[in-house]
Amino acid sequence: MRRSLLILLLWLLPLSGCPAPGGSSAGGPASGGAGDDGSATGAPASDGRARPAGASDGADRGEALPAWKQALQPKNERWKEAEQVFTFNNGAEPETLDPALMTGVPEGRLAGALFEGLVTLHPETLEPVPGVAERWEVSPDLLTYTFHLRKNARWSNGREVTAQDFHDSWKRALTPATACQYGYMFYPIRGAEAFHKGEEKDWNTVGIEVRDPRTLVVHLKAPCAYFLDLVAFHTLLPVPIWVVEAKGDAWSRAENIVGNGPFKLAEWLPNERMVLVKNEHYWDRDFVKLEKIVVLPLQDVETSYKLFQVGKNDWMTSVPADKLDEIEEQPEYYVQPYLGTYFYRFNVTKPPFDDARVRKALVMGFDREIITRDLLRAGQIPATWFTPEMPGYEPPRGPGYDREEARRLLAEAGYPEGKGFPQVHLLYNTNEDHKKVAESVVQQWRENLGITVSLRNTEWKVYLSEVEQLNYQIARAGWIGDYTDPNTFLDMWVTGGGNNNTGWSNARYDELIAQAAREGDPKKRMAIFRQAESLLLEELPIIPIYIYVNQGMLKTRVKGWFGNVRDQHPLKYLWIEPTD
Amino acid sequence: MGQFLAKRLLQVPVVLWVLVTISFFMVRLAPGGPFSGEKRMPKEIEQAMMAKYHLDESLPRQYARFLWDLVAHGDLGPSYKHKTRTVNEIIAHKLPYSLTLGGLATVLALWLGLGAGIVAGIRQNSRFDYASMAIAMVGLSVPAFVVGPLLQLAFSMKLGWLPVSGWDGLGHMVLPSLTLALPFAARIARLTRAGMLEVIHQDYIRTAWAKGLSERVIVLRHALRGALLPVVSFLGPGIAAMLTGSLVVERIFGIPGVGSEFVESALNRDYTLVMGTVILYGVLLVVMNLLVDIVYGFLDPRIRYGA
Repeated sequence: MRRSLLILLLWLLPLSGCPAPGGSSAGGPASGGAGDDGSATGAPASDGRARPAGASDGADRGEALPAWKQALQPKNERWKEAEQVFTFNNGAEPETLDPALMTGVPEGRLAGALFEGLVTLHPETLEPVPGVAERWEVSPDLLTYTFHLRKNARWSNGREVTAQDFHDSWKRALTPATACQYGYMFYPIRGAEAFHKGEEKDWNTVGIEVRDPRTLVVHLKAPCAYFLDLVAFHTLLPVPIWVVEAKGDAWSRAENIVGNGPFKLAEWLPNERMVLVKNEHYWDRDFVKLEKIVVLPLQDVETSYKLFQVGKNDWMTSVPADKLDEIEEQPEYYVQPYLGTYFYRFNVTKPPFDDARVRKALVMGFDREIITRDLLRAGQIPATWFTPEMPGYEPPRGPGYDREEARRLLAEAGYPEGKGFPQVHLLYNTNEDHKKVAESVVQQWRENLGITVSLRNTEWKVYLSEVEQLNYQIARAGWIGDYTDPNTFLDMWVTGGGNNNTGWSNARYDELIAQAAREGDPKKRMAIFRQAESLLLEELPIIPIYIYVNQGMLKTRVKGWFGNVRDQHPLKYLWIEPTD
Repeated sequence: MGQFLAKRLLQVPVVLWVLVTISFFMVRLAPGGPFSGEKRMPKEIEQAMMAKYHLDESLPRQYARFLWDLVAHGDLGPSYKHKTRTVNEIIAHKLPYSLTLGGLATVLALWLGLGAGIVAGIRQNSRFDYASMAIAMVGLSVPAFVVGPLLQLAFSMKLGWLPVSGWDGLGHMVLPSLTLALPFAARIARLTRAGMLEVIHQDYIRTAWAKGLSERVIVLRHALRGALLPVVSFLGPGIAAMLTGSLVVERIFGIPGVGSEFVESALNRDYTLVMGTVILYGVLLVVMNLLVDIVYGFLDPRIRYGA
């Protein structure tokens, strides 16, 4: 009971405005003057529209901190007595520190420390707040974003960060030969998709324009409610293009790397540790309190926990599942809902799952509560919908556990009491947790529906290739949102979508997703998404199971850390309190 | 002896070539590729990546390119997973950790294994025999992922004598090398004991006793030489395995050794790194086995090479 309350609270807390850019009424440019620095920036926006078109923070004009930033400061000076060194386990060795090439979570955690984008995300509300851009304007038609870069933004070697740097970095990321896997994060920009896919060779067709060294103008192909969210994403971070040109792929190695973030890389011993120190050229250095960050790449969560217990690790980003009972009791433990969904895919191209009734019967034929409450026990939210709840978006509910209705549907489809139901496999990648869930689901189906589904597990890459080639009948899956908008969950189900992998195709659904992309009004847009998701949950090419949570442990002396649905914890805002 | 060595040395490249060729094609047969991931890339980008690493070429061409780079330049190519590093660099960086750890483990395994095995052999059915063989049984059957955390729990958490994990000086090496050495020590103890038992009843040992030699001399100079033969043949692959380390030990103790790459590179379909680890292990194994053959000649006067 206590836990579920906590979850509810955590779930509700971060749901402040997914910021609609500008809001057409406020579309006029914010004046460059001093007094207007986004007072509303820190306040949770009630309907996702309240953000002013421009936000600025007067730091480089030597003014008082804006309210949102003031709120993230220590309340007193005690922190100065503590050694500002933070050690955490990143869970894996980063594959690369090149923000355009990184794809994983461990890399993402470091990206925001070493680099800073035009905008960054508020550590608690995830609203876009000024980064290298001190303010920005959105045109009334929501198609043009004008970013004004602060004049004191510097690379870690002292060089000025200019609009040209962003232009060149984005051009590099979009150049097909760079092979940027997250290039689709640029696609709302006019011409970006065609250029990235090599269909268009002329860079001038892409809507990225340097107006002057401190002004970058971006033209979108259609209104994009979450564009600023994308601008904060690591793929759109600037890279020191002169180093990239001089060193090629090796530019992001420890000996070459130059960043513009709050920290810089001091030492990198592969698979051993990484040391970041405060970047003395960072424009907001006075705000940064940590002097040094030690990043461990330990994959063994038990070892990570032992180090945590002996005080050699301040933050674990996951916990050993079999010690949950012990860990839950500790004040350092946290659990927060995550913008991700655990689900199963149906291969709808082959019997028996080409029949929507059979799919629905299976969706209704097991109780998700048994899985979340009895098996996983970490506060996962049983879900009959696909898109996690997010600001402005309440997902429609799909069919839940109903044994009788499931049996009726199965009989209607020609398998009364499960008789004659063909041999079916459930595929998952080899992992104890996936196995536990699959076993429970399959057992419930046997008891409730009288059908036998056997389990098949393969190693990760084999599993991926089986799913991609539709060489499965039911397959386990998970999806984590790239940005806080339903689009990141719903556009994957369009016909032929690169991550659809179910064979499901619905013209009406495709049309709705396209319509949502054109819609400028946030409320109407969300309504369209709801319609699309309702359709998805009627047709059910998937079995939603639960909404993920993030579990971890954080030493109580670490402050400036907030739970949020994206599991984003910018290191810039952290500080260490002395232990008494 | 010289002729024998020359012959064996000539075989080495052939053995390695066969190993490399089979591995090259087998790893490419596995489903999925280095760039397959949960999120599908646009085709154009995937092609760009494949082209960047010449993976768009035909298999024979890739093979020829790989073999040429390897033989002519000793270059194993870039890692697909660790995007800014080459396989040569990764191995050069990680191998020293593994060699240190494996070297320590080898010394430990020999010391524990030979000591226990010899005493158990000459004092057959004594309490020491039973106790050491029982421990050896445990050492053999309890896997590292149990032993490691238990050692951590006892020596790092409860007693606080040794660090939990990491690699900063001798203190950090004790628990991982012990964990790594234990199963090998157990094997060595059992082989030594069996060897001793076999040798100790032979005529030449009886002759030694009859000559009035001391037990020390009989055991160490006469019996042990014969008893060591099975141990030595085990040590060839055994030392190669200890020197290349283990994924489990490295993970538990957070050591950046090369052992985990054997497993991870295959799981990641990091083709070039797979080849690097295969070649590394192959070379080590061949060298160790060659050493074993040479040592045989010294241990057993009946073995004469090339005679």
